[in-house]
Amino acid sequence: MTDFATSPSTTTGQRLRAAGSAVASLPFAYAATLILLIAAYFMRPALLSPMLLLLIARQAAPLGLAAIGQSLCMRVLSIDLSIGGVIVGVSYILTGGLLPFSDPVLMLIAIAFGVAVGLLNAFFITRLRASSVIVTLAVTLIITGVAVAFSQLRSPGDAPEMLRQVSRLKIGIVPVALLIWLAVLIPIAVFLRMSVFGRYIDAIGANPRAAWVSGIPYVRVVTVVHVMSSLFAVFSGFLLIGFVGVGSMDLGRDLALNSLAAVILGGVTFGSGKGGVLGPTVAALMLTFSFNLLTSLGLGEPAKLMLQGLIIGVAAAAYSIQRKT
Amino acid sequence: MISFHNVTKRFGSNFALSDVSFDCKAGSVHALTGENGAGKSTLMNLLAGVFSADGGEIRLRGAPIAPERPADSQRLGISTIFQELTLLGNLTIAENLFLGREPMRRGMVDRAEMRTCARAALARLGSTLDVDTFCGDLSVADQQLVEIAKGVSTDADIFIFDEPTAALNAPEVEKLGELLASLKAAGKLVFYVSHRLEEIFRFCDQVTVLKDGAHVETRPTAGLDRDQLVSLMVGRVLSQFYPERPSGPPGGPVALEVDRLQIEAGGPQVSFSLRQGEILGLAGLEGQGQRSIIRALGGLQPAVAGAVSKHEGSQARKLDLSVVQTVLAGIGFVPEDRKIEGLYLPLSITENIGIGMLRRSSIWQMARTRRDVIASLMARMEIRSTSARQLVGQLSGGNQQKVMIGRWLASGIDVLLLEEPTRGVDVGAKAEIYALLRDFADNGGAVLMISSELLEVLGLCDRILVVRQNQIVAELEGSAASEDEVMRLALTGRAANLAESHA
Repeated sequence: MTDFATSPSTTTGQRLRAAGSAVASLPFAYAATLILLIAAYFMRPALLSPMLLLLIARQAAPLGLAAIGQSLCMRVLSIDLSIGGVIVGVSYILTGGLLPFSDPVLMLIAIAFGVAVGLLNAFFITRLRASSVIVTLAVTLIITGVAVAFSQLRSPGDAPEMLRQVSRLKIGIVPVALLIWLAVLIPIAVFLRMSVFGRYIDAIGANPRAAWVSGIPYVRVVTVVHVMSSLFAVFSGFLLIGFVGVGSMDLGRDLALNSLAAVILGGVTFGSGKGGVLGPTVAALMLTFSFNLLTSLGLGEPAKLMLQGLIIGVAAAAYSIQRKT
Repeated sequence: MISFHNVTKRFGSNFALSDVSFDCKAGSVHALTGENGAGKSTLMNLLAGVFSADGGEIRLRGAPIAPERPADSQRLGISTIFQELTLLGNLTIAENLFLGREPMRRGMVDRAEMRTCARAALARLGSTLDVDTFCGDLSVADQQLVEIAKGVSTDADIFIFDEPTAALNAPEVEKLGELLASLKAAGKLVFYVSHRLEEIFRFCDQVTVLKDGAHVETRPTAGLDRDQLVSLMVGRVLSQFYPERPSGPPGGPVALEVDRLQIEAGGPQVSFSLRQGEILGLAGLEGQGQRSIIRALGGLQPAVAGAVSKHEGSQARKLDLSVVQTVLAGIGFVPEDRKIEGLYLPLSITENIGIGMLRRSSIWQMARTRRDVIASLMARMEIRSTSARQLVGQLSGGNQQKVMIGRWLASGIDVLLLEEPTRGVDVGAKAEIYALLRDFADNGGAVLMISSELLEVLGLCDRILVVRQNQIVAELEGSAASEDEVMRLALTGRAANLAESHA
């Protein structure tokens, strides 16, 4: 690696090469965003109006929030497939009508539920050394099953008025949902960059065994990461329920996989322990934009599924190639 | 039998080998030595078909050869025992030994024959391991033995041993010596790549020294002494390999008090104290429990019973033996396997060292990286790198080891526990690491170390505790102890005169 600041002897050629490799190491999402925007400019220029772009950004907010949590999990070599389950659970708590409380209390209960799911995931992963894929997948299945069973007794009702308001409100032309996303994103990004917690995440991602041997509180860090991921899923659920307006057991079903795709496209690969928050954020925007573009081209759900599968497959292949070299 | 003619190998723009020429005779053990990065492994990899040369020629019995893959070199009768362990953990010893060349009978693998041959191959090394054991269940030393048995059981004329004794204990090394002698007697050529001077003098007839990819010297070992060989390797005379011990008896206040520590239920208890300003060594044969003791103190392995207290000033605090707690109490542990347990290879030197400074911080605090402290530490430790931002994975073994020790030095701990402080490190870096540890002790730190290199323990430690069958059988003063005395205690648990009167 070339040290720009302190080595005056670097030649222009070296600098160019270093700049070139820096560009090549940028998250794939950046280039893909550019390509998509250009493609849209030629095929569906209407998508590029500021109004529509802002709407797409608003639509990307739930995915963006979930992707922050997912990226934290993946940076400590874990994974969170319980995001979908958490959202279904939140949806049922808020709209199921089973609990006789006011909306703010129900939202607090939903947050507590998220914390509980995060703790449960972390317990199985750190203490019992279970595979994070299996644990979080099982958790999502259990929650979904329970919620679906209960919803057959009594079908879910309307979303809390407050959440529907949030989904509709704008400040100027900027949707409030987008502002909420940014308000969560920026402090988290700063915190991860500056804090001991952020350093420990990098260390665990680089070598979990060494992190443990050198006294890094592995269990605590991974637990906090999973609780955070579940909390992001809860907030993501709040936004989604507000958008839809009524409770649904299908809500956020593909959010776990899409967040995975966003994190991979955002430059966080399995097992490298590297990456930031900006990459997954751009990737969330890009994915949402691409789904809209596909829909506007008349290639809806099937193309979307193929795209998701392709992203995850290619990322897994890229990872195993990287491991061999 | 083999001759190298102007052999050159480049990696990118770096010359790993340049114009290396020398000859090797059949029926001899030929040592290949030099500092890490001198090119000895590269040269052997050319012979083993792992790499191809960029220039020059290798001749086997006068005919040029150019093996392009390991299979080519095996066909030419060259068998390589690599330093890295290549055994498959989920196969048994016998299956590993005959992997890809299983004895067949009527189209089926003849398992009985395979087991018999495997037992015979191990017996040549004096090992009585059960050949049906899965290799994944073996200790590193046993895996190394199996690796050697595997290499030797092939029908080859040339054998390459790359650092074969890194994990072996003294009697196993002895057996290896006998094996080398029998190969030599059978007219084979053995290449012996090693840093260990005593083994070179004991086992080898010829020694070739490489430095920075260039050939320095090929000579019979008979005409050389240890100091001459070291100066050939480093290109300078090491005025003092081991730092001087402080004069007078080691008598600092107690830093760590170990009271009746018991590793296994029903097993023996150990008690000892580690004082400030001293380097204390646990010596003994491989697998006698030194490792468990030091791992238990570091909180990496649970202990059944016993108390460990850390003294600071006049206060003594009983420790809860978990890694997080011991690090918090100011005890740093340096594992023997730096790549798996010690370092964050994809992270920079700054990140690797800086993380130690956070040991007392809560995870919610802001992290401060004292770049000035890291820079001065890197200068003091002579860590050779392009910058503090270089990734640790790109450093040489010696520099990686320094980074791992440097992490604790920067973190302000006062007790250092080390496993194999200089494993896989070249001679120059070894001397530097010894000096660092002595310096740490001189400044009031306490060092406890284990090492499979007895000379290292004898040269560096102020006090030596000899461990045998999980018990401390003797305490010796480092400057007065002899190799013979420690070995006798480690083997028999008795001092020399007692053993003789008993016999």
